Amino acid sequence: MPYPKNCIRGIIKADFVVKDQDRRYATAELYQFRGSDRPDGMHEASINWGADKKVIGFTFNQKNNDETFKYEGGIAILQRSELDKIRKQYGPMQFNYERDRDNKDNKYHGNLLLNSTNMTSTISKMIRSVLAHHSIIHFRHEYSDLQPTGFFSNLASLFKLIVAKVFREKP
Amino acid sequence: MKNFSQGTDSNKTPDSLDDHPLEPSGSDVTHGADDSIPAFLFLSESNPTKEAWGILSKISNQSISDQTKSLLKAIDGIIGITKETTGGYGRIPPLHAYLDEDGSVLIEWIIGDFRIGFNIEPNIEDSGWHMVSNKEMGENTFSGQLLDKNQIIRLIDTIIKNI
Repeated sequence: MPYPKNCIRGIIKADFVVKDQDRRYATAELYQFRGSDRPDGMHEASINWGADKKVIGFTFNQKNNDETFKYEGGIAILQRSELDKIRKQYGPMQFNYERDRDNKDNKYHGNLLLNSTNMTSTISKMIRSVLAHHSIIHFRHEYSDLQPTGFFSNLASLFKLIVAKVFREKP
Repeated sequence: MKNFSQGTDSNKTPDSLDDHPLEPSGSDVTHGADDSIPAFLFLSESNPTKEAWGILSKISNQSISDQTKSLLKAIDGIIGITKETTGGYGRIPPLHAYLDEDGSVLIEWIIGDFRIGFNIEPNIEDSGWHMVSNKEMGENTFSGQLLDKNQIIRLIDTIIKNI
């Protein structure tokens, strides 16, 4: 089955996006590849594949253990064609991507894969820069059908609690 | 209505999810470059390296600290000269610096359709620079080491004169 045309990288920190004039850009810090014990030596950066239109809402609604939204900083959308260019340039043993078919909680989940052992620090950081430079940033508030956060989210939760309490207390 | 755009593909809606464009549903956002604002002018009061200098307080490695200072000083110097020669009327985008998880420092200079990155590593021979551009600028990537000071000065000078 072919890979979807796009993937999404959740932005956990607002600092990973910079604004200049009316433009917004991801920094290379967004694409942090973390070590894993994979036999292929690849390091992973988690993504959600854009398999259907629900993935946006799904990603924005992913939560941390403390029930706060994971990606308060927004989401970065990357075209797979950009990933293919990097893979072609450096080879699939150095840069690749994958689906995570074993993840039962997140059918969209996948990874960008980078093996930086055979490349200079400058090149591995340049690859992260390329990913960042081709990322299109979106924020939660731009999607009006998503659950609000912050004050309005708290207000909605409070309202739900009050309603639940009032109805429970009715004889 | 505001115009937002990316460093790349600024006029292109992400044609993702096949028939399901990942368009925001809010009313205040469109895509496309804002051509009404001159991209990069030089404002006399602007200090593009101010934020980047702040990274020094977070660096514990002496070599990284020294290299970072040296680089920022070089950039400041060239900006100063350019401001004098252009009359100092406009702005250039700020540099962003952060500590990477591997202990190195990354300094990014995002200049519209392209960006310059400097990675400062404990061993100066591993430190380098790279440049990445989008389709509008030919989708090029370049990189080099930070060892050659003259090369870095020429690079920064070329960047500043062309923004």
